[in-house]
Amino acid sequence: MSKIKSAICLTLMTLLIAGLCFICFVSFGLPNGIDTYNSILTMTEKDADLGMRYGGSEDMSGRYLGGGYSAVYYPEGVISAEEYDTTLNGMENDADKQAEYKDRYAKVGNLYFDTDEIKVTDGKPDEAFEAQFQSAVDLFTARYEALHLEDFRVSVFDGYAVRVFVGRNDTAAFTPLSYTGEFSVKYGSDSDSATTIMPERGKSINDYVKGAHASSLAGNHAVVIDFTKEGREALAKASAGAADSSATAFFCVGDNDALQLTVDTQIDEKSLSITSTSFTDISAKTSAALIDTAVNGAKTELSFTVEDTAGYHGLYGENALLWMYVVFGVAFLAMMVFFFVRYHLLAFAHLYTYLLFLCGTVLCVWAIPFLTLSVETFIAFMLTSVLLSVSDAVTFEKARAEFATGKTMASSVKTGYSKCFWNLFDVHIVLALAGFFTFFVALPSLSSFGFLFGLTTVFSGLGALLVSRFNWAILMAYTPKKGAFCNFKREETEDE
Amino acid sequence: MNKLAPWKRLPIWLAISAVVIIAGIILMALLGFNNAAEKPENTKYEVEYNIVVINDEDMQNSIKASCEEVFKNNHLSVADFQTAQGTGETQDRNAFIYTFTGEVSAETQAKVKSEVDSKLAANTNLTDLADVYTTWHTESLTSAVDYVWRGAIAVGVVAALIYLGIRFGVGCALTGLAISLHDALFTLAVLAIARIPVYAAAPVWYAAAAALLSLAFWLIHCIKLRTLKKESQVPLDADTAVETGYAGAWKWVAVSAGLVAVVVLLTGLIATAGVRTMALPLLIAVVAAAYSNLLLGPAIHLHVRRAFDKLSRGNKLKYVGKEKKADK
Repeated sequence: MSKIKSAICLTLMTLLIAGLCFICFVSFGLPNGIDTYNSILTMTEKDADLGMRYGGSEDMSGRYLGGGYSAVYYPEGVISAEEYDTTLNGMENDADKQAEYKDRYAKVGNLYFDTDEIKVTDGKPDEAFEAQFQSAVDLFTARYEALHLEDFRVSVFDGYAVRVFVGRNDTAAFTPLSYTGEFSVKYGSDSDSATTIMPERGKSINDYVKGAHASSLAGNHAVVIDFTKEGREALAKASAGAADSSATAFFCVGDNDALQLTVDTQIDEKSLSITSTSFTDISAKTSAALIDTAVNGAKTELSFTVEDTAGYHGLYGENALLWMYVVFGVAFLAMMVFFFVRYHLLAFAHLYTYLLFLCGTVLCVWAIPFLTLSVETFIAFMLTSVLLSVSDAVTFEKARAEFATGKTMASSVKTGYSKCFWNLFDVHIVLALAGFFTFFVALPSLSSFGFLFGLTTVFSGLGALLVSRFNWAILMAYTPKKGAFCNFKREETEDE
Repeated sequence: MNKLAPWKRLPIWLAISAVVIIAGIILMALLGFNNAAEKPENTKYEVEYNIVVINDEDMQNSIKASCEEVFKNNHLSVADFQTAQGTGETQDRNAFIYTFTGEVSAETQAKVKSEVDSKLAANTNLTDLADVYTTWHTESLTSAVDYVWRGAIAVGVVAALIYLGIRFGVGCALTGLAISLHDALFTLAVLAIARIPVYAAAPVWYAAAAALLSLAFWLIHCIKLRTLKKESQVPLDADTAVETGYAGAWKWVAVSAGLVAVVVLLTGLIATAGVRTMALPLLIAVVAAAYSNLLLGPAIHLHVRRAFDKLSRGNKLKYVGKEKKADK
């Protein structure tokens, strides 16, 4: 490569890397003192373990929040100690009312039970309530499992409430997933006047509906309800006149609408796919999980109220992310020290490749919706960083060995690369295949690990086999002492 | 390592692996993994405060100091501390949440609440302006944790091994399959035997990482064996091929495993406790992958290679026999 071409390429490459590093890693306050310029890394979503507020905005005291969100489902007739105390304190001027309130509520652990609704004996609710509550716990657990969310948790809270926790800001699922009761389909012009078309009296909803699932195609999300023959006929019969006057089908769980569908043509399908522009991945999954568990899940007669919704810092501690950046910094420094000591200025070729690899990864984690910055993705990135560094070191060593035999630098590089090209190619293909197949089959968070491992392996392959060689060529165009530039030495041979 | 000749000691490696894996499977079946890191049974002490405290760091510190002093006096050690912020209607309310592993007796709960409430009530700076409420909660995680297994890594590894079979031969792919599976099971077994505290969904993640690392290290052997085959003038017998291939590969395997171990150690040692709990058990996966690639893998491959050589010789003899018959 000529010196002019090299100079242009080197300048462009340096500018590209500087620009990428700036947008990926630099955040600063704008001169107006109010707004902040956030880097891509700041805006990258973090999972519940590392959590910072998504989008990088700060709370009033200047701390980053986020991490996860929780809500508590209280059974009807059960209240928290705080609600009990607050209500009681509100009656401090009316002793009779206070006494009546105290008589009405019985303390069970840290909760208070309304004895008008639930029978409490010796500080324990009756067995019927216990059984219904256990069914509700099973139902909620099955629903949150069906969402396949990263970092979700369902726990029994204070003995007789259910606490649910989700990683991302998927709080919209909290309320719908608290609905209990039988699944039914109503049909009519409005919800009050709509008539129930399934199940008919004396029949079970399982005679009509098999289940429901969410589907997604090219960014369009849908809830698919599978009907039995009887269910299909019932819906077809009810919607027979829809072409003349449109109506609405109400898919209800208990007294709550899970979905509504405007019908202007007869529905006669085994599987009804309901789509909406307002559906997101999580809202479609939520509706499907709600309907499916209402049909096939545990049954409970209890109804629940959603309270105490709150957001949390990362589960691994407030500074977890900061310390992971420190880990990366130390590893990066160690890597560069090795390359500069072993290969002198040739280390810049690796540095440029690595920075492109780093920025490319950050941009992908930011842009790909299902990826978050988590310990799993961080470790996947670190493993492929090792892969890239080893691959670069292998190519440099091969070239060093060729140079030592007396070849010119250009010939050494060419022969060195050709000797290890297919080996490195195979390593990258095998690991990328393993990563991507893992992603296709696994659920979070192994799925995120698999995808990022596969993706960064591809980046590493491109980096080691193409970018590093290009960087090497443009960096070496200026130096007359190419051996010294790379810290390559000729083999010393003794004269006979 | 060459003097040790690990490729000749298959019974020893098989015995070690069998003991660990069988013991691990029994313990997995009886006790499962140690999910203590998840704090499946815990007690929380929650101090809720309103907007006045949110805006005053001194007040927050004074609340924290009061709580921590009472916990200390009552010999309670805090396993976890979090700050929660209300959302929606309760967004003007924040809370400090102290988590204690296991159960805290009702008497201790009552005593701590009473002492903290008294301390906070005595702080007039706080009570004049702010609204603070303290309460205890118990939490019991449901058994259903979304296990991420689903054979994912098996599919991933098998897909990669098909490629390996095409590029390096079926023998290499078979050995790769054996040691990847071995490492996943070995890692799970060690986690179960050593009762290392892990997050509920983490064991399968470590197993997956072990299988991937094993595959990566095995590739080094495959590359060396292929290079050897290309460079040798005559076909090498199984013993020579494995021995010479091992001599060229073991240092690379050791260095790669060492580099990965350093990265994992760095992550575990520098990062916070939660990350450490997640990262450090990954060392077991690294050790399992290194063990099977430095000791077990070459020994298995020697037998696989011998079997393929035998098969290949058998085919040739049949062919020569037919030619001889034709000559007559």
